[in-house]
Amino acid sequence: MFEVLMPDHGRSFRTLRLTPLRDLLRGRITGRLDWRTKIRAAALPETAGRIIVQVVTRTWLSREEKVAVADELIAHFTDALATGAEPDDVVRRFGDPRRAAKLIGRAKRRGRSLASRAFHVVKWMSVSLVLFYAALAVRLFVGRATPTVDYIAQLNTAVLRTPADQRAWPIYRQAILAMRNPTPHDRLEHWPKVLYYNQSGKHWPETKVWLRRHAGDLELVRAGSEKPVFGYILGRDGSMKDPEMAGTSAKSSTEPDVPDNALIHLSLSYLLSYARPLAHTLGDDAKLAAEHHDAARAERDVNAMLALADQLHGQFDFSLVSIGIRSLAISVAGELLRDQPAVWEDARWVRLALRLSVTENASDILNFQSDRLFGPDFLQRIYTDDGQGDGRLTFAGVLALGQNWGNILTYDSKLIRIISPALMAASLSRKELLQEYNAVIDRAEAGLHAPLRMSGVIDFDRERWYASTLSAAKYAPLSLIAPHMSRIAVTAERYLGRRDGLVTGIALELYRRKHGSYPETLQQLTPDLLPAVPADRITGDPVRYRIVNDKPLVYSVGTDRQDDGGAVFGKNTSETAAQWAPSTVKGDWLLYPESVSVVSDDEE
Amino acid sequence: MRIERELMRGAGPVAVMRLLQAGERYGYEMINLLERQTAGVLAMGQSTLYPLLYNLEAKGCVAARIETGPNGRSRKYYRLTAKGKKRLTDECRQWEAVTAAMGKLGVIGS
Repeated sequence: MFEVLMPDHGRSFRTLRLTPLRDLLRGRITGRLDWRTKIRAAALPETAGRIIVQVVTRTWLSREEKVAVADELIAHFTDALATGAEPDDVVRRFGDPRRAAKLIGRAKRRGRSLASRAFHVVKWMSVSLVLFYAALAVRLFVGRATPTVDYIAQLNTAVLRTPADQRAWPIYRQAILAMRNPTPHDRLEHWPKVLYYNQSGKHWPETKVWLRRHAGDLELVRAGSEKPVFGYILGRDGSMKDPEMAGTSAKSSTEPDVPDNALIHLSLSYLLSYARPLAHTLGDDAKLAAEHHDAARAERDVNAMLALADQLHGQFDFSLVSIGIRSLAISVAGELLRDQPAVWEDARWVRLALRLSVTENASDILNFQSDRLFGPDFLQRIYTDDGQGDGRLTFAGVLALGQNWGNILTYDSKLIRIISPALMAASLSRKELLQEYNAVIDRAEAGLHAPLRMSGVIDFDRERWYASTLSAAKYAPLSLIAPHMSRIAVTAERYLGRRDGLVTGIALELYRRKHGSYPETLQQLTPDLLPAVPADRITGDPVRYRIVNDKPLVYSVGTDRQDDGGAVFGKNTSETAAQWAPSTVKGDWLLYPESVSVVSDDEE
Repeated sequence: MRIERELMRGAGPVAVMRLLQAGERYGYEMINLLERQTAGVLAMGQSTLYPLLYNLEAKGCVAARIETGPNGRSRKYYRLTAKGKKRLTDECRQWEAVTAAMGKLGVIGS
């Protein structure tokens, strides 16, 4: 039981607060650090009591030290008044209370033990830190983003200038509405699984049934691909303002600006979930058409895929998506060439080869013009604006970043609220981030004009961003919005390598048709069927070629630069060896066909 | 006559320690003694005495104890420590030397 030694204090929290720890440890609530009550209890004249309070308060000492000073001054004034002196005279003779407080505080502090001094230093540092953090928090919470540039309108300008009948989206939309599942909860689930079944798999018959049922809708997709412009109008008042299409995706424009209204979110999340499935639909239909010896339809399907990629590249420069669709197109064409080469007569194969060969470097199929808008658009929504192009991270911005950090910090996590001022302080300013962002894009774009083996992998940016926790916080917004340059560059390079493989495969097939067998060397294809033997995208030497099981195999020696005869080891895929950064992967990179392994799994 | 602050800064601690040489004293008592025994010359501002005492306490020259009287009133009594005694001896010697030198210069006793 606690023993209350100062009953006049009551058992109030104040008494508890003014009890030294050592008293509490002994089970006593003394409240003896309450120096103000002591002064009142001394029953000194008001002027004397006030001057003691002034002096004690201004010493900035600990409570215990203040009690000692108060005791001494109470004794002083009591003694002085006991002589019969007038209170005002006693107070006057005491001197300047400010100066007294300053000198007493300094002298008392000088008398502290080393441990006490260390404790006070730590205490004041902690207080300073808390105050500093509180100031940061205030600075963070008062910050508001004020987006001023309508980047969506900028991206939409060209589309809106295009006549409505030249836009593909209205036609795609019609096809999508007819083909997708009616489930409204998830955009990806709008598409049936049959789209992703393999032709050689047991579910392919289901895919065929589905394709036949939607033959008319596929015709619409092919018709849409013939339009010059994709025609999707970005923004909440654009193509997404479509109750039939959007389902639950049509969020109100009154929702927070970040990230829901950010350009990158509107573009990638809504539009792209439609583009890929359309390409898959066409790819499956090309295979089905080949099964039915419908050469024209198969060719239209492959061409429609390439056209869809061109439309996306033309309107939005969505690098990874457009390259992904191109890659799918050459995969489909490659499978046709490998498994059903007779489906197309020479002219169709030549047309495809010529169309694919137009691309020389990665810069022909991708650029970062849209990314140049994504960055400033996102930053203007999560940073304040000082009118000079600079600003600091806002709390809404921190939440937006937290939403995207997945498991570590979630949107409703208390942790992110606590660390948000620190994150604001650690992150680069708006101007600095934008400079970094543009520099990354400049370097990446410059590298697209030459093969990756010459321009070099540009992974160093991300490595620098994630080098430490501090730098991760510093570059946090960039890690969300900056495209993964090395991934894009490698994806483009892999596409070009496989494209080279397919074009060479087509030339080999045409040679076989003409001569009855495949050539001894690729050199025999030039110049009639191939202007030159393509260079290995990794080494720069001519790509390798050999006949395996009476079928041609075109390959790169892969990242280990060793010719393994077209071998893919272990659990590697045909593209695992397609790496330009330092790697220990062994084996070759199969360019055409993509899914044939020459050497068995046990050689690694 | 008022003594300049800088001079008082040097003389004050010696004067206080000298008073404590005779035995324990409390603050207000020392203020009165200083005023009376020096005819007001070394009468320091009352608010100055306590920091001076705390400084001497911090340096280990004086020690203090609190005594609570029968009426419940507590007073803090100061006494000279061994270190304080030694310092007082040293400082008295220095003051004697200064006084003698000042005398030779005609600053004192002219």
